[in-house]
Amino acid sequence: MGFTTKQVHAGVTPDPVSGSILTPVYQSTTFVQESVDKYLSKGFSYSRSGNPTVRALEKKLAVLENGADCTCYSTGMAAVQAVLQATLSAGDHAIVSDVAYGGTYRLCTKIYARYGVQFTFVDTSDVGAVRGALRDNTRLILTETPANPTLKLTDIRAVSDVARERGILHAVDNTFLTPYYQRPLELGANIVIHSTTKYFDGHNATVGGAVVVGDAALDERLRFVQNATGVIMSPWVAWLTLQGCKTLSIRMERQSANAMAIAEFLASHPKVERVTYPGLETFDQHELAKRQATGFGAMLWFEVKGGVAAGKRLMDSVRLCTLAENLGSVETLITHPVTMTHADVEEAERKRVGITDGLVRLSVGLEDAEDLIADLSQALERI
Amino acid sequence: MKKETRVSHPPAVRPPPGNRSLVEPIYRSVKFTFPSIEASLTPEAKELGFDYTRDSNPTTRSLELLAAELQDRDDAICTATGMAAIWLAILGNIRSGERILLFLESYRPTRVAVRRMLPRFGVTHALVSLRDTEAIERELAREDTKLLLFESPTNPMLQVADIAWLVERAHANGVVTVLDNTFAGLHNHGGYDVDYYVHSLTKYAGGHGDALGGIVIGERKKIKALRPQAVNLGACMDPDVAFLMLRGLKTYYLRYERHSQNAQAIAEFLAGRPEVERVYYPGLASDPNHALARRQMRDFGGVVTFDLKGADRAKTWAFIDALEIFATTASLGSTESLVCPVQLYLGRDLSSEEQRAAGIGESTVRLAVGIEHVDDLIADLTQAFAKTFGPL
Repeated sequence: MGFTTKQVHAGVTPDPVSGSILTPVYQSTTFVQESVDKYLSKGFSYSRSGNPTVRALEKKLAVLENGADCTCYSTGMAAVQAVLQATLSAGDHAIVSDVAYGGTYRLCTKIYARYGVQFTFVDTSDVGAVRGALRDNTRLILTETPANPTLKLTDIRAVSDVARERGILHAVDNTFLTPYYQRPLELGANIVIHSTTKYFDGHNATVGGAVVVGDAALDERLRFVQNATGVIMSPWVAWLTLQGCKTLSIRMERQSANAMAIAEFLASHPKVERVTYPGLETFDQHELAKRQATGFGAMLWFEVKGGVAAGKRLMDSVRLCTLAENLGSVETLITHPVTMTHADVEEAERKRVGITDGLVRLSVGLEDAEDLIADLSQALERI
Repeated sequence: MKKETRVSHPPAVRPPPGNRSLVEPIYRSVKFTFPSIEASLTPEAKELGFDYTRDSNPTTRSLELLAAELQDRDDAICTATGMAAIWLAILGNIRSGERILLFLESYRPTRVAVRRMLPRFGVTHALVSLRDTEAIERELAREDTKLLLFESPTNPMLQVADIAWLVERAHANGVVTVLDNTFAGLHNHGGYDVDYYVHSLTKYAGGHGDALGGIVIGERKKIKALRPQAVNLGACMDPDVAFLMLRGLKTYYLRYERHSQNAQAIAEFLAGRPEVERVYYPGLASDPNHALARRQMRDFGGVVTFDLKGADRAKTWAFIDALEIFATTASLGSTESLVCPVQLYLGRDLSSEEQRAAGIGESTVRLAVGIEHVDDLIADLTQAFAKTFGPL
């Protein structure tokens, strides 16, 4: 069955009671048991432990990522936290991409470091560096590809091979490309993490997270954490996300085509120092991008000439692009990491991972590409 | 602007000044924007502004401030569930090598979280009886004990903790106190020197059995210390859930009062039944917890637990199955009356010895009394007794 068929139908069967084609929003905390003896015979007892609407989304995402099962969470961060909680213990070591999302970095250093877990932050685009960081107590490699915001790629298959040789787990944050363009489990990864807030929802209407795994036993461990820590997704959020999934591929295609058009426009603009987009032939890892994914996504970044001041000036001059830190939605969002997302990161650390003063991140939306280019063009004129 | 663009940027409707919606709107938006970078960096924007719904949201914030005020504190953090709130209170206050004191008489998922998940991360615990004052003193005096996690009244056995004494002993030993105050509600226990109140808002606050949610409440400084952990954990509450909670709270006082009145009548009814061995309800004058409960609480809530006389597991389950209005399921604090077999639902993580110490037997039944007419509820119990035990 093709992806676009699965994104519409997987996980959802018409409601047995009414025939409603959409899964109802089961906005109920608790589920009545037929008798004490038949406890859980219908599969649900209390919505923290399982809810039919949330379950439908979990099943759909598992199918889309070609995994065994999926657990959903209140946010993408809660999903990352569940993976760490389920796979690591005090005394363990994990290798984490050095360009990981700031929230992931803080979760590791501010919470898990307090519980005796060691982390090494590594440039995971270099498989040799990943190999070199392995220790006897390494249990998990956590990568993000393309990375946020630098778009540096990690070779999923190569890192998964390293993990498999050592009998440890490789978790990939697949938020930027979604399973429509990239399916890490098929490339050998064990765990896929999503912020469903981004492309799955796609409409800036919910925050949520998901973890898809290839192994049912690992899913059981995650489900225990999901229930015990209570960081669950609400049924209404799951319902909105189920609806968002149905247009995932067409949004991804259009947003990616827009991104390509904008990247080409920026590449030839005199006030732009450089443009980074995996779809451009000038992109360092363009071949890898083509090899492990079927599309390039809708995230790009560029550097304006003139450093921090020029970056800020551009931010304040755009009219259509919205100044906001989210990504993946139908609205085009623009960020200046130095003054916004990465304002609290030390300058040396920031520069080391490639976040320069003039770097501007663009999450390209579903608007008309000509309107977006016209907006960027007028804003660049003002610098 | 082309229409392909317009659909992502629809006209914004701004009511004229003074023309406000009586009920605050639900802010579903994930993102909040500022007109310029400068405007987003002002102290006011940082303190009162909104950026990303995982971190804060106006609808959820309204609930935080309201619930905090009801609990006589000035700040709070909402979470996806009550367990996420407990988890946040734990992670914000404890690290590897430290120890938690909690009680046998506590909510099963809380015990499971501490007993099954924390040892892997080097956090130890002591699980003692709420009545074992000697063990409590001993544990609190330990250098590594950093957190006291307790409930009052406890779920499911309705044991009342001496809050003033526990908090005083904990603080004398530098131990942070976390009170799961779900059973007593937001209007009780605010006068004690508890550091963090935790609630499952799923129960009395929401009150309609429709939404799950939790909250950690405390003084502004203490909550501020916890907020980065909440953001890192991503355990936030959905704004629609916050709206349902805010709506639920409008009838909170009416409902809690009716829950308590109904529960009192049912506890008294049960105490007079020959099929009942023992009733646990702090509102009963004969309950050993009554004097302490009266000192600490305005009213006693809707949960009544009791042991059936001479009933084995099969007979207990048959009695529960015979109930018609009381639905067999977990949870409590909703408008509907619910019932559950305590050993199966809330005690199966405990050894038989621990169950005995916690007072949980195979004939123990927990009622979550709703706000239906009490005559109907008593009639339902009466017919179930007759059906299971035969006529009087």
